[in-house]
Amino acid sequence: MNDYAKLKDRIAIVGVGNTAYGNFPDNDDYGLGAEAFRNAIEDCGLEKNKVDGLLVCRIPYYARMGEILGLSPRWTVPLPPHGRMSAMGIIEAAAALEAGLCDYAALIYANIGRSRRVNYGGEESPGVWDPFGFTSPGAAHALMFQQHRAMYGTTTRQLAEVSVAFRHHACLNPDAVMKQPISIDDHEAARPIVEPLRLLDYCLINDGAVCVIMTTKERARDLKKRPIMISGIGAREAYETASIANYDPECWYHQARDVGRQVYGMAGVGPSDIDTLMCYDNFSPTVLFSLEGLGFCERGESGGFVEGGALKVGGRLPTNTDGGHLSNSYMQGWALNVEAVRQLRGECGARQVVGAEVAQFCAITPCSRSIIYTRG
Amino acid sequence: MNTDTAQTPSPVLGLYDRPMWESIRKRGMHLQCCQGCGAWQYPPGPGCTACLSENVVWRPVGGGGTILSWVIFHRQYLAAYPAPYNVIAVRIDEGPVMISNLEGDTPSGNWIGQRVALTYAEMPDGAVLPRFTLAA
Repeated sequence: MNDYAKLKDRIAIVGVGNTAYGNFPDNDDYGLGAEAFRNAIEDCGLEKNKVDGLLVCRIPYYARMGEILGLSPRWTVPLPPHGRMSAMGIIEAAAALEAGLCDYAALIYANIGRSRRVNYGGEESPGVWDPFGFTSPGAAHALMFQQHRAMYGTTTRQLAEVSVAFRHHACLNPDAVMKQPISIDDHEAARPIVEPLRLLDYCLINDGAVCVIMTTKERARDLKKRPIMISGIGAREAYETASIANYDPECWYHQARDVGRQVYGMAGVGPSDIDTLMCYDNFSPTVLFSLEGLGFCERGESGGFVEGGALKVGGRLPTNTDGGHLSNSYMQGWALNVEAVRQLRGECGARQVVGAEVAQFCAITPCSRSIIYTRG
Repeated sequence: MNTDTAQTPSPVLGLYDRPMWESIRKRGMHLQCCQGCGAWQYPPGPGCTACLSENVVWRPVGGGGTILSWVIFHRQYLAAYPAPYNVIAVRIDEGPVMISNLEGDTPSGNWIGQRVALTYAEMPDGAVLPRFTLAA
């Protein structure tokens, strides 16, 4: 019987690449994916035809993506266009590389939702609860934040701290979509979408693509840049309420606790060792739930934890230093993993967390995942 | 589209949903209850999610529940639902969580924990929905 913790420091991210982020009606998923792949290949200096593993997410057809890139891999995984897939994919690729199913894996994510006017609610995404007018993932997060507010006294001004900190980071990130700083008052004055959430609690919808190239520790030594190791992984699903998409009456607290136990146990670190956190932020309340579940603060205390700019670079826990989904780009977790790599390489310029050695990605969702990255 | 005659968004009508919606149309909502372990479930499925027994039977629900959470939609996504309107998550007394709407009077402050009673709302297009009112 194998122990998954044996994967510790075995697999590295060696190349990362992304496109510009924005509104690109003249491009498509494949064109964006190819550009991100080219940039990731350039980033690591790997000979393209050595890529023998391909994982695609939100790409219509994996074989067409392979054809466009001139690849004939011996390992292929297509993942659905759900936000929770990024670390699921990275962990699957790590296991495949360790097992020898491939030597070099390229993971490609592309999103063309902005220029194609994707709404994430209403008739385009029919659900069980449409007869009651309950639609859109934001509404489910509004239900959960309402509970958090009632139970713990969390305020929307505290919630605003999340959006304000991430916007601050976006202003330091040349790639980010959003360029204007916002204040807590701006958040409070934004138009309500599904109350108690407002526009600035919602992630962006934009076009773009991200590519990550992974290989084993041994092979990583021959490539251009310092490898970034996968030192911890944690995983737990919450399928009991899957029919109420994106809603969990406990805000995924118990799953996040379990993920934390796994990821910190494997990496041999705790929350206080994390230099920078990359936290899946489809909606701002998810960040509060993540901080509590992973143990950065006690349950119910995330509102107080984030006050005073705690999530900003220079603060107590620099989080989503690229601006996250709220203000950088809606790359559904993939860009946050790239940002973790860049932070540990020291490539982040004005938003660099000085001396960052341990970075954590987490996505607290119906499929919760976390990865701890360290410098190889 | 004229929202007065907008079509109520269709319920999912899979293999397991039809008996439930037929019971709602007759204003006596039934849900599946497991003969093996007694667990109730919603949405309906091929068997009991708790013990995997296939011996699930349709039984009328008592109609009581407690509000878990609530939101107010300020954006219109669906023709039949001009904003603003409320949506509630209700833990019915049998155990499952339902998403629905609160009709009639609404609490002035916190809605969470309020007791509610099942009612049947006829929509402008004739569709019948299981909704809730504050319990007397």
